[in-house]
Amino acid sequence: MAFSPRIVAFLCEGCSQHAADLAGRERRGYPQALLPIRVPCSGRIDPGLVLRAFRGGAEGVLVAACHPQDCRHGGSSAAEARCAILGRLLEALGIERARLRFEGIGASEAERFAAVARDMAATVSALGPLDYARRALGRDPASPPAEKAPRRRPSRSTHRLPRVAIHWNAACGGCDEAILDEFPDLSGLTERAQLVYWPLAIDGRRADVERLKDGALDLALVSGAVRLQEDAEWAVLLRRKARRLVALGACADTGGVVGLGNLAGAAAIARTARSGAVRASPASAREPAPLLPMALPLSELVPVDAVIPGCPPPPEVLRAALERLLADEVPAYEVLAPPRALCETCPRRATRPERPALVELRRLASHAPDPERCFLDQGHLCHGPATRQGCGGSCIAVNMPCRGCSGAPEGAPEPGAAMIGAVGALLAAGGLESASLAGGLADVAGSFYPYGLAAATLPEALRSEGEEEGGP
Amino acid sequence: MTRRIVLDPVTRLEGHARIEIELDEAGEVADARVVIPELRGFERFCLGRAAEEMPRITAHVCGVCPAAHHIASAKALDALYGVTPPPAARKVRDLYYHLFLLEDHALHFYYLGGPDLLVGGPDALRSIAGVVARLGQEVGRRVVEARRAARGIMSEIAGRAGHPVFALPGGISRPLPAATIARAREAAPGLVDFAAYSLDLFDAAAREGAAWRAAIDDEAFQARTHYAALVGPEDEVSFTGGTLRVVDPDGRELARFAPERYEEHIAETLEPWSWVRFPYLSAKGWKGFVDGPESGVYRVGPLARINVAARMATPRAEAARARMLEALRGRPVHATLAFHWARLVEALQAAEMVERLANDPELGEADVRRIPEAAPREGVGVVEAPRGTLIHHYRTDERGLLTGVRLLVASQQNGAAMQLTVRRAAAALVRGGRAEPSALDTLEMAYRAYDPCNACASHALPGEMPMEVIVRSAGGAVVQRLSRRIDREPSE
Repeated sequence: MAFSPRIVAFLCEGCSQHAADLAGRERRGYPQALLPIRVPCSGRIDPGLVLRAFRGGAEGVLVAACHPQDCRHGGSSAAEARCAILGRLLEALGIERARLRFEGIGASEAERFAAVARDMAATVSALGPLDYARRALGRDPASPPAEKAPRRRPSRSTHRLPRVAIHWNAACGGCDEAILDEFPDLSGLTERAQLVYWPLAIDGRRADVERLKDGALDLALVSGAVRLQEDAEWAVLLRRKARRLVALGACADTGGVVGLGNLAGAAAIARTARSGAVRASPASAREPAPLLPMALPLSELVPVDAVIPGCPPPPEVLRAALERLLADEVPAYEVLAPPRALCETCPRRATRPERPALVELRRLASHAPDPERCFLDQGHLCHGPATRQGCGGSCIAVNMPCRGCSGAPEGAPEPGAAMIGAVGALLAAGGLESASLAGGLADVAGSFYPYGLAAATLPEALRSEGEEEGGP
Repeated sequence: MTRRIVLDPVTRLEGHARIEIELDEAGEVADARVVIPELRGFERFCLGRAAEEMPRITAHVCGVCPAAHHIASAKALDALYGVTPPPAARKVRDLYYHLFLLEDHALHFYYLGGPDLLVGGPDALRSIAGVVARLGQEVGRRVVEARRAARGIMSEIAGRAGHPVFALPGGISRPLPAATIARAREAAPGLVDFAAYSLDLFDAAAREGAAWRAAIDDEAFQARTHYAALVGPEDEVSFTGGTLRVVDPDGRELARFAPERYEEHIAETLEPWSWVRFPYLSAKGWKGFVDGPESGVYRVGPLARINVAARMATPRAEAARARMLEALRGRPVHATLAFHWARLVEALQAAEMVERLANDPELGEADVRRIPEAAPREGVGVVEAPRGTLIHHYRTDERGLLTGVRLLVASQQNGAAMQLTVRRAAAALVRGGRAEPSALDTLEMAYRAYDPCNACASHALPGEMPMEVIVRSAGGAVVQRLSRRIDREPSE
């Protein structure tokens, strides 16, 4: 039997939805593989939903919108720009661009709708199954990811100091330095807590942690992505030992820059690392610590009780979060930073135009940004619209655009998709040929996912990226 | 029956490490090694990124020394685009860098490695808390104040105390505000005092301590290696630029070359049990984890810089260097514990440089950026990081997207010598199958003297991929199964 692809079709109720209805009434044949999802306007299709459709098993996604010039809400051009960016992102991940298609289809164009649907089904059939979820997650999609909000745990006795462990997985140590900046001689911490384990600052062994009773720790702060099997073991160990497990910093929260490793694919990374060394390794029974197939945020592996975002967490955010955690005042899952987007508190907010638009894209290599004006208004991809507050805009204060280390604001599925959504709208408002402008982006994955690729649960490169060598 | 002693993790250093000691049937040390169970893959996942993002991306190699990667990266970008930053930009970068060097060296002496020397005795609390308990509140107050002052100014310059964001190809992102310059000028004398105070404390507390006296001249804690470091135009210690000089174990010059020619002089080898590659001097070749004039093993970092350079760059640091070399009977000094002393001599130079730069009339000039015009191709940037020579080497396509990335970091270059040190110390400390806890502390102390930074050392991602990884709980139940299908492996 021929492979029959599943195609999710987002249909705008002002136009393509009518075209689809009409095609049905007129008995025009189009593939049953189409799973239609009606939306009020294509401009409301969050890029995260497109990615979720692939992750959920779609082999193709069709965004059928109004013809951009006919759209009453101006959403169609934004959807077109977002699809142009998403297509290039998928391509960077080794997914054929033809699996995502944007089409403008008017309400009366029944035959056109049927033709697009047939053509897309044929194209995707020819490409074959995607198996996105398995590739993205490195595990059977039937087993659900860890729940983010675990059951409420009994509160600790108030008669003793909370027992605290601080651990780093695949991390840089920047989060630990940030804690040290808060408690420089440790006394502020040791007055409030019994410090059981913190390899940066005090002596202690893994065996000391293993010997603890389950739940004996009141709080475990874990930074770093989960990259090695050993990291996964620590995550599981501390989850068992701690009543509250906190993802500390961008790597534990969303994978951080470590997540960019998922873009390259582990085998390609291995090849790069081996190049330039002149001596092959002799055969040996001893192996280095094994890797996981992908870098993962902590919450992909074990339930997490709270998140302290940022790379590293800004001092004010960290101080307030530790204050509440040490006082046992975080009863349910919470991201311990202000919920809204950085733009709202940006020191350059006053220079943000009433109707912001991107009319060109600039790079920092070839342009010195004006120190007062909104970065987006200058053509720099500042992540302010898609990034949680808390840092006070510290990068913007030194005339550098935000790169989104604090993760997505509340309600956004993940930071990269939120940024693609924001930029799509700005490109559309710019009125240029937005798709071609999006095509001018030098590095789509790095531009939109500098810190969030692992959390976006995007797949590794599915094809070899060529045999280029890593060393110059 | 062979037996293993495992120290997991080794604490008070940056990143992960464990020491594994293999004993033979007689209970003597058959082998010992430092294993670094971490890796992230920067050299691969930076490919395809926009080159100008590298100072921000590579700062994440290390949260303890992000400044070193940030500045090395910016210098590599200057070279990549063939652009020379204006004087003010270079001086702001240098001011930032010397503040960083001072606070990072202080971190090691008071928090990480130093407590081994400052807080002696079994069951002692070897941490900053132990240092304060042993030596008094005044010590704690001074180190906290000095680090806070330095990191406060750093965060004004760089956007934040942690990962900096301000350096760009051709300069920096904005002129330095007058208020920050004033703050740096005001803080500088106190930082010089603090660095001098740390040297006094070293004399009074560390050199008089049992750990130092027992190990400084002990054969088990020596390594007669080559040494490599940047030197300035007058062969002085220079943290931010110059020529790479290599001396042999007798202190004779083996090589002197421009940093961009590093590949002609340094090669790397792999060990099957380690993620970290081991660099060595190609003129000598790889002879294994051994020292001596015929071995390619070399060391970088504070002690290497003292052994390689003719003098310090500032007067008070030079006087401190002279005292150190007099006490240790001239250079080259091979005692691994002497890294501690060299680090504090350097901290004084860094503080004096902060004072000099903070008062430089060009520091506040408005012209801080040259916009690159030439097409990018290839660039090498080098600094002396706190832990030793750090090289960033990039190649790009004509759009400035990276096609080649190589980072040669200090803790990787010291890797072979660290293995040698740990093996030698283990053999001396573990006898007849018995290892007292204090002996294991001493073993860690020898390793810690290097101020190892394993996030840096393991930035690459070598090795072959496992086919399947099973995560088990302590009870043996499978928690998670992560698999990698063979058809996803690109064919070679």
